[in-house]
Amino acid sequence: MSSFDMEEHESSGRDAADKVLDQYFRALSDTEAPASLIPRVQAAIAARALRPWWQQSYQSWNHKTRTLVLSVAGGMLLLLSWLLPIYLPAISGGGGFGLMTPYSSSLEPLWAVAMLLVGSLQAFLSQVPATVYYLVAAIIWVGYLLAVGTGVFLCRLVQLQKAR
Amino acid sequence: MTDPEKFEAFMKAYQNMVFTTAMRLLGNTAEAEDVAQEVFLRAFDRFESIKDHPKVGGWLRTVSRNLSLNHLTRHRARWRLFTEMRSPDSDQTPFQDDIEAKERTDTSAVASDEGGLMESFLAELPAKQRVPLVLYHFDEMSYEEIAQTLKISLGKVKTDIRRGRENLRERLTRSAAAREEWGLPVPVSS
Repeated sequence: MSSFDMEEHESSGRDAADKVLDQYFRALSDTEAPASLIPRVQAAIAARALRPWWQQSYQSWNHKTRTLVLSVAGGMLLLLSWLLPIYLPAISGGGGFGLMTPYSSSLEPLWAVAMLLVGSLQAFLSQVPATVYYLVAAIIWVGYLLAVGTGVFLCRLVQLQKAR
Repeated sequence: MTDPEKFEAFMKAYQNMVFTTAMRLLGNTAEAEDVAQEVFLRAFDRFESIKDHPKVGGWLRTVSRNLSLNHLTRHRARWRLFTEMRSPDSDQTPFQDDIEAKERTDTSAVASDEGGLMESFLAELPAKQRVPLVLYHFDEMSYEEIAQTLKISLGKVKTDIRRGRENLRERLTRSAAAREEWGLPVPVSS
């Protein structure tokens, strides 16, 4: 049995080879990082700082910005939760824009057209059997696989020719 | 706001540990530097809360390890899909070493000391052997934890670690023989 063979020692935990390697590995000092690492990190931080605050990570926002954004988002949610129960029934079942703004009369024809389109689409989709959906999904999936497969095949063909 | 000087001192204190953790797992200097950069960017985002934490070293090591494993899984697996010329092998894992020899960092050429030599041999191991070996010996993870982390079977973890050790031993023996031949001091007793 070689000293590095550990099969017979599994029940008793780390074997002699484990210990030798462990001791050896632990004695290893860290490798020196490249001198370019710190300048790279500093450059990346500087590049991030130049981006506008909304493109930066949430954690890098200052407290005032975080508070403001959370307050605005919370306020909008509250407003929506208050407005939706009032206006949603009026829009969907009440025959249009009755409770909404002075613009409601001018938007009425647009709303009617939109409802007509949605109704037609709904009626059409309800006529389509479920198997058609499965078929379309299968075609999309096979097409995706074919595209990836063709890409891999062509790439390997090019590699093979280069190797020759 | 983070004080740039304090953060620079922080990086100087931990850069070798972070880089070494990534380097041992990835076996490639450029990739290890990329991962180390990402680790410090994450540390920068949380610097106010971690800078005085007693376990910040452990946190950095964990982030380095996780990002290195992610790197191995995502980037190399994706790269392999388009470049691998070998036939599929059921023994393969996402950590299969498929990097061309020329892309490797030839650390053995510059490793003159004992530790450097061992590090270079470690870097030259196939990733599927190196990664579990490093997790076992440097991160002190159990076989079960390694299997769970790498999403491979327990048997495969044991086999890969055993092969990794044998591979290392072989390289060390060859190196010792070569050194003896050239009249150089033998670095490691096998």
